[in-house]
Amino acid sequence: MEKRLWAAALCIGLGLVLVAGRLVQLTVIQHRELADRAASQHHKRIRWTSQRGTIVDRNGKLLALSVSAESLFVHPGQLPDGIDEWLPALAAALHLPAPRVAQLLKTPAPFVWLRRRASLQLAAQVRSLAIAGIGSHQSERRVYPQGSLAAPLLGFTDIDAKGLAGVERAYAHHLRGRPAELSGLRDAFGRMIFAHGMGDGQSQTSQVRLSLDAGLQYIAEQELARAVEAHAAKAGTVVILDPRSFAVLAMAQVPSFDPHTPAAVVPAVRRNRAVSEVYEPGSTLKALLAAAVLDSRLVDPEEQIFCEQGQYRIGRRTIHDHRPHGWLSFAEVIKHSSNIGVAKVVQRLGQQTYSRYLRAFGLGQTSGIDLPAESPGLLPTARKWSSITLATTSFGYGVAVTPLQLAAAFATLANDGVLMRPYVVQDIRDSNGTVLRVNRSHPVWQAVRPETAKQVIGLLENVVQHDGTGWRAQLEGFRVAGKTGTSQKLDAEGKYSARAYIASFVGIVPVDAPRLVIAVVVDEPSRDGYYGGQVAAPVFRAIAGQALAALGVEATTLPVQVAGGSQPARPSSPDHAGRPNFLGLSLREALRTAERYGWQVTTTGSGYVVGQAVQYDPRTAQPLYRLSLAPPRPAIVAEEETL
Amino acid sequence: MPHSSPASQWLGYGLVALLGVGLVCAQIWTRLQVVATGYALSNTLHLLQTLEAEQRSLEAEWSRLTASGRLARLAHQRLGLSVPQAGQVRQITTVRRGQ
Repeated sequence: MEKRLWAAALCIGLGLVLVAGRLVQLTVIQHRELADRAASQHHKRIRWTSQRGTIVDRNGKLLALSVSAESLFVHPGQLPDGIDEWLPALAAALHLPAPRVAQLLKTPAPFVWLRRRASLQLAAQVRSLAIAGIGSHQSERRVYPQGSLAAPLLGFTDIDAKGLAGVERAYAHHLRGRPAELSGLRDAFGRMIFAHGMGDGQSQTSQVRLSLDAGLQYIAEQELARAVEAHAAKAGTVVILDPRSFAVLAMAQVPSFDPHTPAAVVPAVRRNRAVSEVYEPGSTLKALLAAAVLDSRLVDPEEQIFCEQGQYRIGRRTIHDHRPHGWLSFAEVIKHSSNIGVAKVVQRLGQQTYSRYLRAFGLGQTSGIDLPAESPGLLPTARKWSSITLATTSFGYGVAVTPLQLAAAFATLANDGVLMRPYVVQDIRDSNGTVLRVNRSHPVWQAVRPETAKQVIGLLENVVQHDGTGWRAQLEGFRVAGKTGTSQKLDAEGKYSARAYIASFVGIVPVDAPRLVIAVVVDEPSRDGYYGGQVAAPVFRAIAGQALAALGVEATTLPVQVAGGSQPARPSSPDHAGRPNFLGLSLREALRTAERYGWQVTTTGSGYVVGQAVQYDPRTAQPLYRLSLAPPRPAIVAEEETL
Repeated sequence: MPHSSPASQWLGYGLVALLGVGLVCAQIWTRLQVVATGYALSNTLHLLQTLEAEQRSLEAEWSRLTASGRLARLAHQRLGLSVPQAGQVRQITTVRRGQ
């Protein structure tokens, strides 16, 4: 009996030793390994990927955002039998034709995408069919609520939400956002339990705010499209800058594309023409020439220049004016856009100095705008210029610019001669509204003296007068300065075409306190004219009129009244509202009348008064009457600029 | 050192045992609350993600419906409105009496 007891005790003791040994093995020897295995089973880490950031305009209007989507896939081998029973319902849910779906399902591949980036509603409809072998994967879809508005500037993304062009590419780093990692326990059903809190991991989605105004962008696109259609043009570009900051307010182009389906158009259409396409600016460059010679004090606006009656020979080449001119003041040379006049004046400046001034206005170099694929344009080194090259460069041939460069050059004039760096992104904020980055106005350098800039704007204001080449850019209630340009395009053989032109107009408005610089470029207009004054100036007028109203800029002058040619002098006494009426008076009569009634007047031109406008001094509120005079002729017809 | 009676000693032991049981119960209750709160957090996170996705969809829809092009088209087609020509827009400034 005692032996049995000892045997039992021994067995129990051995058993206890074994248990103790196993306990030691599990809790001491294999502790780390088993603890890690338990943690991997109980703990779960999830990566909370933040969606791509939003892009809004300067007023907070959404231009691009990402929404949740699901990508639907199928394992064809796991599909249930009886395809005819569930195929129609699946095709209807996918909004695809049944034969197309059947073709997808019959592929031998083990995995097939049914639909990438489908909406959540569509995915839910497919899931509700409960077809074995069909699954879904969380993804996101880039949405551009304004459609094709500003598409070349915004750019687009690929199927994996990676920025490929425009702002989407330039600010990809900020738009991508930062993912957050959350860790917690996992229960038997795989559900997350945040028993130790969620930590401070928070996903960050940035908001990129553009300087662009969606309203102005829409106006620019509409008016440009109208002009391109009316003149059967190949393409068109509009750039609107705020000359006080060089912020891009609009950047429109025709043709454009839908950023949801960028692959539907050829790459040339997707390219942002305003920063990537160059062209010879033609007569619009005369504004920069005027700035250069006036800043160098080599010419006076009233200095008379003989324009050779329309033909001027330099070496073996002959320069032509569209309309023969005799003696013109330098101001009139710019107003009537005489090639011969500027070709003579530029000789005083010389290659080096003229080239230096063009560079000072930002030509021949990238502007530094925060957009990808900007072209520096073309400005050959001055050493290679012959005298004929210098002459042709003075009226905009032999150099190539982007529409943005030209807009920035005119904005420099409107900004007292200070060139600044244009920009499209105003600021970047995180999801809490904290500002991460701000783009402020960045002055580059003083291109010309402020007095020179004002002087040039005065000359450009004449261009928009009733007998200037840009009279179609006149805007009721506002003083406008601008320059027309018409340049011949090079054909396939490298010769200037007699049929393909680029019509352009760059304008500043209002002259008193510039708010907008608008550059309009129309490529190959082929119907109803091809001059810049005929094709581009009306686009400027239409855009500026609506844009100023949208911005709430008040008119500074009364609507311009234009007399119908050389009419006999009409009574100059004040009308029933107490306003003077100078129309039809000679210069002497107008000045005498102004003196009699105590009105302040300024005059431009000679002959008889054909237009009058009033401007009020903002400090004294006293009216100043601006009178436009012209020689008598049967009807008022503006001269077009020369090529 | 005064001697306590056996009854009071048992009472002391009982109180300590009761305190121990209470602490264990509190620990269990707290643990259950942590787990329940963890589930609540998990559900809230899921709800947050769902609502954020819905908000984004609604924002996209709102922006699409109020896009300038769509409003202009509706204004023209349904109301017969058109873009005012230059000179048709007048800025009106109101001035209060006495100013």
